[in-house]
Amino acid sequence: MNDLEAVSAAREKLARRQEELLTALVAGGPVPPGFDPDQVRAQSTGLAAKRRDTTAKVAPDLPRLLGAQYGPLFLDYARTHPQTGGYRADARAFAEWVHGGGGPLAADRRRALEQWLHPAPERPTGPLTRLRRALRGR
Amino acid sequence: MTSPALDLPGSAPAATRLGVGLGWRAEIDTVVERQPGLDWVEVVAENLCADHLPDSLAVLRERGVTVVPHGVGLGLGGAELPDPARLDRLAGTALALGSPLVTEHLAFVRAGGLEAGHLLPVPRTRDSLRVIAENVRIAQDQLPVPLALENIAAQLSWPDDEFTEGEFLAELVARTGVRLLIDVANLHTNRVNLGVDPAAELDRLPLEALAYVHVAGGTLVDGVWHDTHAHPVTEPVLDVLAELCARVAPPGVLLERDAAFPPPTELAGELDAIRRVLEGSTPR
Repeated sequence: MNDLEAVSAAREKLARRQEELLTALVAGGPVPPGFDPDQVRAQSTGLAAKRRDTTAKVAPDLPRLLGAQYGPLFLDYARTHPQTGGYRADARAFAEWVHGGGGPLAADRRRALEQWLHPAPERPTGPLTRLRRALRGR
Repeated sequence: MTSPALDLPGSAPAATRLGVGLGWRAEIDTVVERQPGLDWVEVVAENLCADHLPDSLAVLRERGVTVVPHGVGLGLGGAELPDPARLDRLAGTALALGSPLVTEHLAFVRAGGLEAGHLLPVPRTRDSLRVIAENVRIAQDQLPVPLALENIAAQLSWPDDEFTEGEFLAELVARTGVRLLIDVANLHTNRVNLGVDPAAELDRLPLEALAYVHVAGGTLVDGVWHDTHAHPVTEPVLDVLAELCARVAPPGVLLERDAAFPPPTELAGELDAIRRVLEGSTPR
């Protein structure tokens, strides 16, 4: 095996091993052989918490709308929905999961979530409103 | 683009003197601007767009405060070749900010289409060393300024490691000329969670390649150290900083605070505590 082939073989092996570990950490996969299951569990919990907190930062409306339910609902969601893209897409997918019945939710919170997911389109402005705005200089 | 300094692997030209700095975060932009005696700031590279830089960073730069982009999403320890688009973005940010260097981590952050959302340790084997050294060289070729790699806080270890993290970073420095960003809070984290001795790790690191040092707070929960960057800096972390300063005078030290922001005076107090460690140390 020449040097290029050796690095390429090492890449494939590394890809396989990292995917196995990450699947165990974020997608409910088995703990790969040789790892300490307690360490894997601790890291897995840490990753889910970090994802919950980062999503709350990126979409602060969600913890506001869901209140104390935000955290537990998000961790339930994360257990079965590994992250594959950015945090904004993740926040929306989480909101859709909750809205679609992923977890128990009071009716008023469900309505608020519905509005967050599908904001009502702005009503077209009539001639009077446009005139008033023009007079105010906007 | 390759900077002349990186043409010779293993060469370690004098590092830029940075001084004492604080992590710039949008939530505390004015607090950072008003910190007395602040020499430099670090920004999370992924949170910036080179075309729309926050005014606060312009204010700081006009005052002569150096800004260093710190990447968290490249995943240079991953099995995939570094993503040219991500590298381009990091390069653009460094140019827009006139930064003397950029930094990333010895970590992988994605695999098989899954995102970890955080930094995960790499298996430290001879095999993975070849892959990661190649990744680092590719990144260096695309970046307009030197790159430094940071040691991470881990909660798990791979079963077949052939190197400690310090030894692995030393190999990468020797093979690629990459610089080092040493996080003393991460060394403390690995001491508590994995039983790794920070002093022994510092002895294994080629500290002549040191670009700067990270300091951060965390908290102990059920015997596990959480490197939260949301708690005050503790004495054991400052002790590791003192251990490092006994070996080398660091070109820069930066305090990272990412959440649960304290009053400005508390951050100033933590920066002063760092300055006291620096002033009270003489490399032996």
